[in-house]
Amino acid sequence: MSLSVHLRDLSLRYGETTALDGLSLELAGGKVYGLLGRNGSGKTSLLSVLAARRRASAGTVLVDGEDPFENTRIMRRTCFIRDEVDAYEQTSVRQALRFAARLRPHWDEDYAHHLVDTFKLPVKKKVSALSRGMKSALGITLGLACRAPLTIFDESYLGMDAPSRYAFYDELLSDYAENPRTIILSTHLIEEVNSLFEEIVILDNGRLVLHEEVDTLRARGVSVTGPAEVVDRFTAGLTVLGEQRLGNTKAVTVYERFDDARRRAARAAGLELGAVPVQDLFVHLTRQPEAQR
Amino acid sequence: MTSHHTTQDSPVSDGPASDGRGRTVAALLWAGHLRLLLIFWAIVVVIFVALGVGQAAFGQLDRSLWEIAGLGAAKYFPFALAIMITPLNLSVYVAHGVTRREFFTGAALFAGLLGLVFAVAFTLGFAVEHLAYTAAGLPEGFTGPHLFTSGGQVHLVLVEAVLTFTAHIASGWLIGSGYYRFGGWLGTLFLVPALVPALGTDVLLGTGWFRAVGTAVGLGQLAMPAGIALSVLLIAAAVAANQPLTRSVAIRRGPTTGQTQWIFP
Repeated sequence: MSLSVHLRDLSLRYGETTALDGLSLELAGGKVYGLLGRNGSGKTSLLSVLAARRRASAGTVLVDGEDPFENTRIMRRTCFIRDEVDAYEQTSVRQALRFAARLRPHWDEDYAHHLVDTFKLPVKKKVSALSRGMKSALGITLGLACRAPLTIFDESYLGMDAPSRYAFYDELLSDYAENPRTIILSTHLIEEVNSLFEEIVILDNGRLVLHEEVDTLRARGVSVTGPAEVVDRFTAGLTVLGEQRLGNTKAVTVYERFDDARRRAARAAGLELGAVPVQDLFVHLTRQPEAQR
Repeated sequence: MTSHHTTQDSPVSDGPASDGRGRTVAALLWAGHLRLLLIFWAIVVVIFVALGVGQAAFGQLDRSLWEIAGLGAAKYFPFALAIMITPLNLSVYVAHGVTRREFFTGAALFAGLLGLVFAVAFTLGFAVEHLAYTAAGLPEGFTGPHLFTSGGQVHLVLVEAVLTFTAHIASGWLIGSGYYRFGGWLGTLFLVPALVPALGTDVLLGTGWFRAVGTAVGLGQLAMPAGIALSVLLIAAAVAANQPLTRSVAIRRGPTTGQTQWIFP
């Protein structure tokens, strides 16, 4: 019960602004995807097209093999939780959950109860009276309990404190394990969330920068530490993200896939190799001019 | 939540739109408005009774009070509610997996039901007033032109009420959809065609305050059956016009209710 996504030359324009520019992407069903990008990179625009909130200006959008726009079968199997909760401000939390239960074919009432307890949601309180974090918790409850085969969270944790966010991540993983589906998480909290992802998609200026398995991406970032002249010689010609120096010892971060032979050569030269955080790689990939990627 | 029903326990339908989704939308819209409607009608009845008691105590009860309390102001309440149908609801329903087409169907059912309930309440009010005035030997004394001459002509009261209320609801819905689709400036220009059902029905039926405008510009009075038939067509066209306005509209960003971003984003 999970939906695949196929995009070919997808464009979305708002008047003079091009939000998505010829985007092509394939997402297999049944995985957790991280969607990363700087502000204005087109993440929300892409997710809005997938959730049929907007119609694409050009190109092909297929969810489970069908255009999602005004598609009854796809729309009721897709759930898009934004950074603002989609519920009536003047209704209570309880009423908001009942409303979702009436419209969502896969709604799990017991699981909704469990999430209400987990996030300590005040069910009698009006949505308008909830704090920012509680509104986010309500959105997450709506998103998880509807068990939609394509579930999308777009910065849905805004205002939530760290324990609540980690509770969300735990719930997401455990429920995903029991009820596999396609999940897309758009986030700026890269280091906090990237352990959830199976694959990462990075957008910049409405274009695809990278789509890789998260382990592959992690393997591309390597820190090389050792005597400065040895490090310089070893990293010559490689893509260097940054460097630090202490006396004669130098640490250089490179964006390169290191095969076994290169790793052996580094060790033989007395160099230490280490991992680089995904966030550092993201910053690099969205900062460099496209010609250097 | 009182129920612990798990929808996964039963076979799940992801089927086509013909599985009553529009009726579900209509039922939810109705449930969402019910308390407001009850409060409104309670206020109308209180005003009606207060006017009656006051008029009986301090003056001569020689005119219909229900005409003022029941129709004079009451038609603008569903009109106002209808303006909010698209702006305040469409985004919430789409966010819950409802297509714009399904929302249109549900909203049309809701609008029809709203008009019918107001019309029946209006008709009942006139019938009650008619019985009371007849028993007391008082004249009903209508001030405005109507299809009926007595509150006891239930069929004519009901026809005028259904057409008047549904026309105002159709106009209101169209105004809201126009603002949602076109935004602030074009949406304001769209007020002109959007108001045609409400005002046009007055002219076609020869009722309501706008009838005078029709007379002033030389529009003759239509025979009642023709006026009714044309009013029905006008209302149906206005309701149907919401479909092309919203069938591909982008769902606007921003909080969904109690906000104005949908007009001037």
